[in-house]
Amino acid sequence: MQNDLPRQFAHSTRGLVIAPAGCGKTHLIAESVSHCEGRQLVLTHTHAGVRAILDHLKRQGVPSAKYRVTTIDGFALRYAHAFSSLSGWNDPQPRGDAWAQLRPAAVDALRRSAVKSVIRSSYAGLYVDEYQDCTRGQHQLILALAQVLPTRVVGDPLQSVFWKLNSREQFDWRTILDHYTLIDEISTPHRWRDRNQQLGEWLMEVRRILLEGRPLDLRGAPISWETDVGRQNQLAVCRTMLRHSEHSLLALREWGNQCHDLARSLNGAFHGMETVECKHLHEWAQRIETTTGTARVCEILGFAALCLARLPTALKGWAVAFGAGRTPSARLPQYLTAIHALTSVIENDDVSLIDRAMDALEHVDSRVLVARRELWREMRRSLRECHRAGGSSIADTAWHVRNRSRLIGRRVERRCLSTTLLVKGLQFDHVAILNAVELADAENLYVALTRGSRSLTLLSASSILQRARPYFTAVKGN
Amino acid sequence: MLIRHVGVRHFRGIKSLDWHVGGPIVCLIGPGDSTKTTVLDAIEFALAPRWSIPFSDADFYQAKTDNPICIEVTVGELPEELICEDRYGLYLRGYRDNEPIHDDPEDGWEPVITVCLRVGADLEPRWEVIKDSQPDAKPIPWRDRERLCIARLGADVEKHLTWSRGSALSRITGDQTGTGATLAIANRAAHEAIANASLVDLQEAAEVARKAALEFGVKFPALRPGLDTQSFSVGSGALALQDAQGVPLRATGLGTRRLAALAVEQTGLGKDAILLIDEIESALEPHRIRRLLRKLSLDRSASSARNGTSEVHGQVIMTTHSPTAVVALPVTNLAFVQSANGTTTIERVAPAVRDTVQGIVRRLGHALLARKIIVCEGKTEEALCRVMDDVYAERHQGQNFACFGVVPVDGEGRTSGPQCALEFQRLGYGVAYFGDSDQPISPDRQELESRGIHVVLWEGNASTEERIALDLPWHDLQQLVDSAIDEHGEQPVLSAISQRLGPTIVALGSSLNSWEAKGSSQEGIRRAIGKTAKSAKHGWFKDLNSGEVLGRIVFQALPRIPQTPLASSLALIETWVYAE
Repeated sequence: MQNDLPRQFAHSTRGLVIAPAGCGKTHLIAESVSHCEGRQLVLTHTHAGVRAILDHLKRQGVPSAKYRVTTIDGFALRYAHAFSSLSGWNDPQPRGDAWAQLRPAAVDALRRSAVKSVIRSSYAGLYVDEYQDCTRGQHQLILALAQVLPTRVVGDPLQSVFWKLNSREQFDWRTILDHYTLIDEISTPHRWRDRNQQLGEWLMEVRRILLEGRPLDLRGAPISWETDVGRQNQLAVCRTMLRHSEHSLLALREWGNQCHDLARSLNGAFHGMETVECKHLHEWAQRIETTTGTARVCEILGFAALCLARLPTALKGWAVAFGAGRTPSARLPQYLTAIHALTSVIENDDVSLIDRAMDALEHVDSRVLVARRELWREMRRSLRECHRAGGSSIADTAWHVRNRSRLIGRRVERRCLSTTLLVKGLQFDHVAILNAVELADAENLYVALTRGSRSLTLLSASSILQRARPYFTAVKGN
Repeated sequence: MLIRHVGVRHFRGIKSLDWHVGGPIVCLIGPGDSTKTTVLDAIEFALAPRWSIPFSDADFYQAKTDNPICIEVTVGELPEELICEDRYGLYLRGYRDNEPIHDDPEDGWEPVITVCLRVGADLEPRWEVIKDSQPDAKPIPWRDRERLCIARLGADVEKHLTWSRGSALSRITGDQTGTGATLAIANRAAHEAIANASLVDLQEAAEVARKAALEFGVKFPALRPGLDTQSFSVGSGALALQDAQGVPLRATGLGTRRLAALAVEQTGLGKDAILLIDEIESALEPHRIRRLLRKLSLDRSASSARNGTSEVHGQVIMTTHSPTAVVALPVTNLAFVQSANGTTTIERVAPAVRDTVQGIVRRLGHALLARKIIVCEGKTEEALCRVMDDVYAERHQGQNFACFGVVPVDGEGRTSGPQCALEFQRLGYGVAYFGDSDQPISPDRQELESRGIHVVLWEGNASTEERIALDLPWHDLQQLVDSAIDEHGEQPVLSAISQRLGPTIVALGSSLNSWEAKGSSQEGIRRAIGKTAKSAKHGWFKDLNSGEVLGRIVFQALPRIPQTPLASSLALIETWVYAE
């Protein structure tokens, strides 16, 4: 990184810096903030991103009076809600699709002169992180702020993995230069220095190849490469990674349930990551909430089968028995406890009984493993909170519990099985891509390849990876 | 800062008040017990940077603590540091004069914040910034209220002429570390001065004490009198303003002291401050009142001129009972306070009659300090009322109009007058309207009466002069004509009458009897005199002096003509004036 880039960036009014993965983007923002006069508003997309930036700012000793870091949507909600008659926004806790409507509402408020004066007296400038992840609405919101504040944005078109998912709503990076002036592209792979410098340099080369749509030849690359993408080999690769006991590990697959399946087979050594919104939690909370009696017991058993591994085979018969209106018989005392707990759910709709039944199932046998820890725990937490709140809606409570974890930030387990989308922005020591074919586009492949800082293992049937030129190449080469 | 709106609930004598304050200079006037001072107190309590305020049950309306005290003061022209996001930026609301406060600052509305002081039965004051869309009010600590720069001027006169903590002088001085060192030196010097003095009597007493202590087994080599710094220490409060002779300003006359303190305080607070001044006139001569008001007004308009914008900085809200102050201010700066059944209302003069009311104030400074106003159609009627005041005082144990807070004013005609009457009524005065009936008034009698105005119009479609000419005894009418001749000369008066009674009059001279002898009826003569006297061009009694001459003739004659319409109309005014 050029020494004067942070300063130059700080002094720009509509500046853009392109930041490849691992090149010190967060560091650049933090240092640039330290060169600014007055307080800077720093916006990013996720709460994890907020924490990463805050960490850097603190580490670099930037006085806290000089910045405020928050998410774009959190900021939008604050203003839309404070000036509700200007924005037409009245929902203090938007869910799901409501977020998309929030952004234009916030823009309505931010256009008013009094609100602009609030922004002006609160901040002297704006930074936006991960600009390629902005939706159109978020982009409009940043532009509204840019009318009042000097605005500097950081992004990388090659990491725009959300574009393909929702190109109608995502910001079109090809228009970025209509709004911002390119100041520089940082290109020093800091993340791999002292860990695997060779890998870092190779990844910069990979970036160029992918941007140009050229074939990527794995032969001779500073990575482990195997051609066997079969399930047994995938499990073997994961087990091999476990020898790095002191390091963080990540294995990547395309779909969430593939991850959970492998995690189960690996006896809980790896954690199958849940999605941020955690659809399963809401789905099962709904199912448990809307049923009573034996139907509810069957749902509980179903949820247990989803989350818990190595349940005794006898349990399969329980669902049948309860479904037929019978009480299953058992001799083992733990089994009896569980059956008793389930029976009480039939007799009483009390929410606390569901949690007690789940607890009994978790301990029905010492071999039982909570394979989907996050899902299982969030459900139990929701049930307890729902009970404390006097038995309000389980589904609603689950939403609040999940929303809170989102705000506080999930703890990222040290060994994860996950999909590219969920680990974007996260870093691990050792990464295994369990089937490179699954990473069908350049953006996903690039994000996956750049997650690990010490070693990279790739399972790919072919030695050549050919991906189409990435969608956003407009800025490249300017 | 500018206070835009004040809302008060259940505070002392005020059950409810909603007041759109208006511009940078506001002077509250109104009769005693109209809660003027309570309004100032309410504003001060809500905005002053006090850590706490000792409330008691007596501070609640009717001492009932069930209904919490709630004072909401809406402030505009805010300093930047208060509208930042972490302060009250997300609590901005919108204000426009005389419109309900908008919860959000729409474009074209002034951004304001509303500070709410609430006191419940626990007597704990809570200061918060409120906004409907924010379910949680945001507490505003005294540090932030300090930035609103509000001060009650003239309250702690003596304190502000010293450098004591929190005084205006210490604020002007700013950092006081140097002063602290100087004071320490002064303290040491005092210590030494005592130590070096020969205090024979005291030294003897000290020796006695030393010996006594020795007998009890406590041994001191020596004991001597000295200055105990615990009971004697010069603090910053001992530093005071003095004149060239070293006389502290504290020792000067009350007026001088008060003005000096006001000057220092205002300077200490800066130009953006909101100043509250109760009874601005107290201890000040008229010329000093005028000077003070002029200075306060100029400060607030000069800053706007300098910035080249319409922005005004700072505000003065005061109360007065002084006609000097009322006259010195434009009526647009006056706020009329009235209180009925706990509801306090504060009104401004409506733009439509502003000029007329301004004229009244210029001529009659004390008019607006009255409780009841007789709006006269013209100067003739006003003069009649003045004579009535003199004459009736004798009939009412020497109580003149002033004792009842009654002032007659000139309403300047039959449209402006009735409008003024309505306006005064709206502003809270008791109002009578007194005028001619030869031409219709507008707004009409019915409308005035429907609003509670006491309307006195002459019987029989007559102007004042006509009514008088018709009803005066013959001899007194002669006196009236003679006075007119004294005032305007025989020739013009007789030739004017001859327009109506025929040219022979001029030769006959001024005797009414001779006119009658020449064939004019008494009735005809009376009508002719009445018409001529009031004729617009050559009216005989159209200024206050000649009007009073007319008045004296009328009131001399009145006891002899009790049955006339003239007497009965005047009696209506008398009854109204002297009614409690």
